[in-house]
Amino acid sequence: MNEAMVRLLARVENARSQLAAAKLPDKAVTYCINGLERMERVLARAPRVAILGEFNSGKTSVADLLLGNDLLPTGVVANTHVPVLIRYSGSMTLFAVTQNGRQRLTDYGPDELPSGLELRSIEIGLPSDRLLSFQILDTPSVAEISDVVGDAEILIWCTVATRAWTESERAAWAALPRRCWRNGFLVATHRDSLQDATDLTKIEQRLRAVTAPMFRDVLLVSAAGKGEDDAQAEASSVVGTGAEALIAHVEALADEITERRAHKAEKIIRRLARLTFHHLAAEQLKKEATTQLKDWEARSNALLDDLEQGTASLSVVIEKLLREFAIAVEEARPGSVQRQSTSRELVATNGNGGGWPLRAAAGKRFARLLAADLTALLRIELAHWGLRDPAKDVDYRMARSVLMQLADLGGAFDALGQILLSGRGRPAAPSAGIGTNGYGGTGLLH
Amino acid sequence: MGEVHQGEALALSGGAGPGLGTGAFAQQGLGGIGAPLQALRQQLLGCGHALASVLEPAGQGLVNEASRILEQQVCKIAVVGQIKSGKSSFINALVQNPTLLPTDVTPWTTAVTNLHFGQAAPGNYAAIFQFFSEGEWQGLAEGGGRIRELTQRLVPGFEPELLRHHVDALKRRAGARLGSEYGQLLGRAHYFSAIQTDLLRHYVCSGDFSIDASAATAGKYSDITKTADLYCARGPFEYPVTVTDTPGTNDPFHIRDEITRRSLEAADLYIVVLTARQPLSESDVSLLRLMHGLNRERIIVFVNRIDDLADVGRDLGQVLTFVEGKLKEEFPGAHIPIVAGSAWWASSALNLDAHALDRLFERRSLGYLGQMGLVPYDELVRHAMDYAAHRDRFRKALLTTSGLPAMHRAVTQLMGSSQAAQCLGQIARCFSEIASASESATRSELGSLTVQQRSAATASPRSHDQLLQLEQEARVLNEVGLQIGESGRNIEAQLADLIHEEMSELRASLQRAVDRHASLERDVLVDTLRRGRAPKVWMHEGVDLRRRLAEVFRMGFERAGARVLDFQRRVAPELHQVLKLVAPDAKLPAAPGAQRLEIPMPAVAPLSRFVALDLDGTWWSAFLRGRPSPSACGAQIEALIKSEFQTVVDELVRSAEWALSAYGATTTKWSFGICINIVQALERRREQLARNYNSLKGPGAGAPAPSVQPEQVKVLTDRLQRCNALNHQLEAVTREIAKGFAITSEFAI
Repeated sequence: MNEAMVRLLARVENARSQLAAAKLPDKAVTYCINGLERMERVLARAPRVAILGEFNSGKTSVADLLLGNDLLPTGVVANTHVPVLIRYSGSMTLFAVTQNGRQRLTDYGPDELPSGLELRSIEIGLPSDRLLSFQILDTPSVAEISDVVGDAEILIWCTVATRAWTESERAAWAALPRRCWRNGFLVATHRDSLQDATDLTKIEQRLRAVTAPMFRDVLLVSAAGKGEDDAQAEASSVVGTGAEALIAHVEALADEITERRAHKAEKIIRRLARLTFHHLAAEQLKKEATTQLKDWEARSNALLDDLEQGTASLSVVIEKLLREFAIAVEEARPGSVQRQSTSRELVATNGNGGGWPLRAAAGKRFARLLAADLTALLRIELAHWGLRDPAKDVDYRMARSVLMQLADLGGAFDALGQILLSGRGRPAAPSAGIGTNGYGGTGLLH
Repeated sequence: MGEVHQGEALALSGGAGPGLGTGAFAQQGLGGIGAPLQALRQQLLGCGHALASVLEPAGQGLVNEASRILEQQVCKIAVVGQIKSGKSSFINALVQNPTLLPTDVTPWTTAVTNLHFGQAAPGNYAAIFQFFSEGEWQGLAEGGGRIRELTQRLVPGFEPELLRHHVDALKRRAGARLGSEYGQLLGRAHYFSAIQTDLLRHYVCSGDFSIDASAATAGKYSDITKTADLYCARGPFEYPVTVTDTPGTNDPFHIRDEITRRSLEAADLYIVVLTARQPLSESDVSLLRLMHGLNRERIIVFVNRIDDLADVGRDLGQVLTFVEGKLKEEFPGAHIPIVAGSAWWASSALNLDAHALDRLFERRSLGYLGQMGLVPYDELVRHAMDYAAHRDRFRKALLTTSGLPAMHRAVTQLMGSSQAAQCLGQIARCFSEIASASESATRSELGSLTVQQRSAATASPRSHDQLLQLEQEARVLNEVGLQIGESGRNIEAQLADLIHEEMSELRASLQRAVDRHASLERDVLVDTLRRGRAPKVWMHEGVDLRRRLAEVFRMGFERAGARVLDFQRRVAPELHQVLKLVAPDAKLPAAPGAQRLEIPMPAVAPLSRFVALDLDGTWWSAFLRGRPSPSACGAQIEALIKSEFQTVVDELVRSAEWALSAYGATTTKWSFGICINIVQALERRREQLARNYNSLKGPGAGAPAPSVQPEQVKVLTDRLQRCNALNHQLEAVTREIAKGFAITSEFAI
């Protein structure tokens, strides 16, 4: 797990606990809390390395190599024909997954399993730091590969070095989606069975030649599993087991994947927070406040219609939206608007609105999103006096700031302000268009 | 002790050379491979020789022909297995010549290599390398061979990426290695009068993958070499044997599959090589299915590379139990011997130098020798090998655990029930029939001589009366001869009709099985598609149909065979009737026995034909994509199954027809041959008599008939004795051959 992911997780967890502590009677907030929780769970899971291969191709030995030390209880692994998931846990744990669900096995040693269980899979928790970077899924050779690869980010195909890459292996691997090829390693095991370095090179060359472009990389390892003797251990130490290289490759890819995931998760969280923000307190306002909000909504909708019809340009609509918003906010909470005139002028000087999205559809989305954001802002302002339960006002304000932070709306508005103030024209990446992420897609967020 | 060094010419046919003796295993108290069968063959050849001397010209012709067949008998052993299971290494160990076939750590063997042992080489060449013909090469290089042909039938215009990749690589490499030369080589062959160790590397090895192809000599001609034929001295084989090394199956580079498959059809027995580490995978099982279809019950499984196991004593038992169980499950009732061992150990034992010892002692698996109690543990260290006595004990132990001696025994035993043994049995039966027919004819001739002698002693009949009687008999004889010829032609025609009739029936039932299967598959596919769960990949399951076809074929063939035998059984009495006219006492060829079907069942090799329906998933998705509706898919599948299996059905019927006709023709020929032999004997005797009388007809008419010559009686008595002895010997041989078939003994591992 890399730092970015740790920071993200901490941020999400912090936000979630704040939202939960407020105990708001708000459906949107409840959804958001649940969503964030799920997100945390997903993010906390290290990328999964699925180890695949034909019968006796050294899969469990590779799992051993990845894990280092002799942590894996061999009895369990060798005697079952179900997938074994090995993940991090503060202390050694063992779960049996049957059709009735997950069952912790406390009464059994790690090397024995109760008989009579219709096992689907086994989960082993081990206190190994390496498992913080990636989980390991050791698969039985009879498994339907397509079932296994669904949840795995990294794939390792094991093949015996002395008979590496047969047609049946090729056919099985070729049937997997390309995503698997990009994140797949071909690991030739039992490298120690080879006589000398020349053979090693020959095999590696052949494998690279015949498997391109189906793997990210090709590696040879000695699967010095249990029961290998001193002589062999010595022999393999001369050429090295190849374990370091394998671990380094897997860790690097796991890191890359974690980073990608963090990036993607941030986007999802932003979207979730913003959506929540849009619905925050929607059902908690008094009648008068609701009426006032509806007025604003009618006005902003009219403006959006103008944009839709093409009777007004994007910059004009935004300028008017902001002005209408300022009026509405001022009405809701007098004295809160100070710089209304400045922004109007700036928008006006911006001419045809070079800082806005160029494509019409993107512009419309941008405006709609802005209107929704403004609606939500206004709603909280109205809540100041319009909340049915005034005591909750502080909590709603807190929730708003938490959500705006999560959604990076502060940043979005800052960026919007920047454009308005500087009139510097196009956003950094105009071609990116406006995504569902609103301002983020324009590059305004960064 | 066989040690062949690099660059040294190997021994060729004619001279026993280094590395090709039976020495190594003889130390273990073993004869050569196939020794019992060879002994039987020699006995039979001797019998044939003796038999020819007591027969009439018609019988001699038959016996000489059979002797020629005997002399040309070769037992063909095909070694098959997945890539990198160690087939070439195993063969080197089997023939006790560790450097004969080139081996490597990457898939290496590309051409089918036939090693001929104890056989005369055509033109006295030691090695012949046959290149692809122009057409074959075009088929491979332009299209990717049969796979391409099949995919085109399934999804016209669908360009298989992988295949194109392989084909391009093949063409590029051939061009780089051979330059402009290679066009001229196609359709030709290279001949060598001596085998250098490096020679084979040019023709049957794939060569290295990525090094500069033009600089390397290994594999120079391999892309265009179709087969290699090497002629060696007797080697470890008593019986003439051809061992065929094949490119491995389950190779991603599989455009040569069809060529390999065709070369396998003719083998008498198959050795399937597995690896101890991954024994009997799915691919191995499908290979075994094919072998089983090709030739039932003549498979030996060799579990190679037990040296790869970390703890042989502990793991080998598990491996063997697994293999045994799986074989039982897949081929219930089949007797497939399993031998475990290590070709590497065998080769090391044959060439136990310092380097080999160093390598051996790197592995823990060597501890097995101690576990087996073959070598004391304290001798199982590298430095103990400095003592000759230790080294010798070690070598013997290594050889024993290598499984090769057990393999020799297994091969010898299976040869006893092979096609070769079957052929010996047939010849022995024919020999004994003709010998006993000849025996009884001689006896009756002798009998009539005795009567003549006696009557000459009592009253002397008038030669004139005898002359008349003689003329009468000659007429009958002539008539009988004609009748036999006539009924022979009739029988042939009737037999042909019968076989034709049976074959139409067989074709119809095979066709029915295919049609039923096709409509079933259609329904399944249509149903799956209709339910909306369009299968991403649908695959035709060809195994069931093949099993069903094999069953139908077996039943149909057995019925047809029974009818042929029945027909011949009815023919025999007819012949007897005719012969009784001229030789009332002659013992005649017995009707074919009713107890056992004696017509050997032809191999069901056509079933293993790879048809378009056997292609893997990716083709099918392309196939399904192109069809508008479920019912169109279904109809297309049905038509495809029918048309694809049409060839299979045709080939099956053809092979059955050939087997029955050949059997019918041979047995009919023998039955008639034996009769004609008797007729000729009678003719000869009467001619002799006639000459005797003629000499008296003229001046001395009415004189007493000449007395019987004592030498004549002596000749006949002598012949009778020889026939009798021959019959005893042939009976013994037949018993011995039958024993070979009965053996289902345990194989030591």
